[in-house]
Amino acid sequence: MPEITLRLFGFGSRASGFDTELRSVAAGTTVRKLWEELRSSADDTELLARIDERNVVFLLNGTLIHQQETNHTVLKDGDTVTYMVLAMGGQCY
Amino acid sequence: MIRDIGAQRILNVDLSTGKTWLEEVDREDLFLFLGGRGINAKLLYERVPRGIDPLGPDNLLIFGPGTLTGTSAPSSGRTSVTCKGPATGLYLKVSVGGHLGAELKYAGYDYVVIHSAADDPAYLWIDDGSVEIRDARHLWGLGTRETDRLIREELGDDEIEVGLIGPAGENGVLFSCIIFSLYNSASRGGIGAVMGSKNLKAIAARGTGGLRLAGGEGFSKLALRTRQELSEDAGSDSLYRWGTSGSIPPLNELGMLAAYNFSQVTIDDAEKISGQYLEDEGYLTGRESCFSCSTACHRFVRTKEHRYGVVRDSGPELETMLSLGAECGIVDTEAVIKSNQLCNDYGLDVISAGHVISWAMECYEKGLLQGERADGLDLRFGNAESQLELIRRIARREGLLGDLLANGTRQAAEEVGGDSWKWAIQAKGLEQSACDTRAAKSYALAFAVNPRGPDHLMTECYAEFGVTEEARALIEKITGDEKYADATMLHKRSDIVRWHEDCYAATDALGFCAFTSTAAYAVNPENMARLFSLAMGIELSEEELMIAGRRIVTLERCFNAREGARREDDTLPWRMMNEPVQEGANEGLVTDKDTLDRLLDEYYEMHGWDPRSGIPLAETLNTLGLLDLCKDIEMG
Repeated sequence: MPEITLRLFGFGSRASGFDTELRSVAAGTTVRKLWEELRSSADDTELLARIDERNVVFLLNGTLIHQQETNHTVLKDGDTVTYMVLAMGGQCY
Repeated sequence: MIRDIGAQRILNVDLSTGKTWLEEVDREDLFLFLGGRGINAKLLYERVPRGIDPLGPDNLLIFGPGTLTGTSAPSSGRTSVTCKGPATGLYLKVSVGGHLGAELKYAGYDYVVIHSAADDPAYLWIDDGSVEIRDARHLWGLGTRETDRLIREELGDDEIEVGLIGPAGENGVLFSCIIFSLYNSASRGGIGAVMGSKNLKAIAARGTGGLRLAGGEGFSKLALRTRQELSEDAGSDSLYRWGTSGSIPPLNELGMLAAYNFSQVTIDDAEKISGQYLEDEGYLTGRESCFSCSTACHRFVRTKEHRYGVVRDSGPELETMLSLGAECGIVDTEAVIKSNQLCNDYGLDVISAGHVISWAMECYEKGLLQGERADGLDLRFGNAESQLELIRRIARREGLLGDLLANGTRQAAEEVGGDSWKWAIQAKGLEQSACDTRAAKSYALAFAVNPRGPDHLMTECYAEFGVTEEARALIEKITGDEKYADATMLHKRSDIVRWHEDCYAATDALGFCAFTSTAAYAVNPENMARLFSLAMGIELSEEELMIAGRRIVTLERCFNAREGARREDDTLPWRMMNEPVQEGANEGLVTDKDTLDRLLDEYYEMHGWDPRSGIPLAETLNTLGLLDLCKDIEMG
């Protein structure tokens, strides 16, 4: 089972907080599938469960993954996957 | 007085003679140049001859609220301020929010053109039809906050709107700004120094009139619908909650955060200088909108620990957090809030202020700026106390170092010598805003060809990242395929840049905030053209609107060409072209000369500009109806 680093930004009680954990995922798990697992295991009151997906940014190893690509982006051992609440403004992102 | 929105008037003020006079804008010009930034550019081109001193009396300072400023069109309260810029010696347009633009409209003026210079410090008081040049000797030397308060008190009306400069503008600092409505800054290129050179401390306005729109009911409906669409855009909510500095954590995660004078792309604890942190930790005390804006990205903060006293101020915005924070190696929320307050009060552009300080810090650490030359300051990265002291000295041009840095990094590097020019993050004489143009290629091209120097406030290409659905849809519209929503790609960058240039110019000309048209997208060209048509009562198509934007961009190009700017001036800071990103997902990326040349070739060809010189071709000018106006440039 691949070991990955999971980073969540802005989903906890603090808008500015990162939660980071090492996690084993089943072989073949995609960026999308992991996201769906996280959402389904979250309490209904949590932002993770409630958030409109348009307001989430997906990153793999520091690179943006467009949402339509998340379905076929398979996680590998050593990957870092980050889910962030969208924030924008000022200039490029 | 209620005026027809299409009957635009120019108020001219000669500060040396005290004479004022009115002109009317040719209605045809309004369709060709749309207003605001566009008419400003035409006035500047026609009336400021080649080669004048930007800080001399022959320069003009032109204030032009957008054509729709003062209406209910969403986020349409912006004003373009235009002149020949002192930092670059080239064209300078700066856009600013707040409420002064709408007040000028209600007073009966669409443009205010400042000529010559007053003998003594003065301020302009525009009270509907009455225009008065008043003594400002008692205000000279005061900070922007105190000056604003005193002018309101003196004029006996707390509701008036004021645009003013601080000591930095008075002292000719080449990155001094003009502050509108207390908390909004026309920041870049030393525009405050131009106002200071005219001995003009402030413009105060009170307007009790209004604007008559040809198709008022239809306009109101479309304005409301656009406002709703804007509120549904994925980015609007975050702009409200965290302001622009909400982008700092993702920039850090992406390895695109400008830190330590652009020598690093991440910084530890970056979230401490983010909008999210300001909210979480209770620094945030309020939010405010510019005129007619429903997003309200502008925020207010107060310090908690009071290490620098009790500080209450606006922002800090993304660029402020980066330039005065990460760029200088300072990840200290309270210190950045204090530095921001000082810059605002002295009237300094925070982007350039942060850059000259981070440049000085790198010089210090590399042994080029020490001892006497450093005026006894410890300029190591991360030293917030030295930064605060330098801000004070720069604004007052105090001491060797303060005076040196007040001229910006280009001149400072020439004086300090050695390799210091390599880490002066500037081109054309303007310090680059905090976007990593090694990785983001549309930004790289847009920054290189920007007539005022490398920043994001003439052309914003945020869509190239494809972060939101709306952004990806726009890239598909521009290029035919959303796969080009990838900032590191070279292909299609010219298409993306040119579309955004056209759109941004139209956005400025009509008075919209660029966040609504090139970051969120509800104020799109179609909606802009419809709103303009309904206001004027004459049809303007989306295509005509975009062509008008291109006409503005081309005219600005011609201004610089007349001043002698050529292809070789379309460049990026040395570090962006020669030092690849050293870590993270963008490791190895750089926009080297070959890459930039390729981008420029495509871009010039697309525009119909001579690829050797970068000057618009005669046939291009003819197509845009600019041949007569620009016949004095050396055409390709």
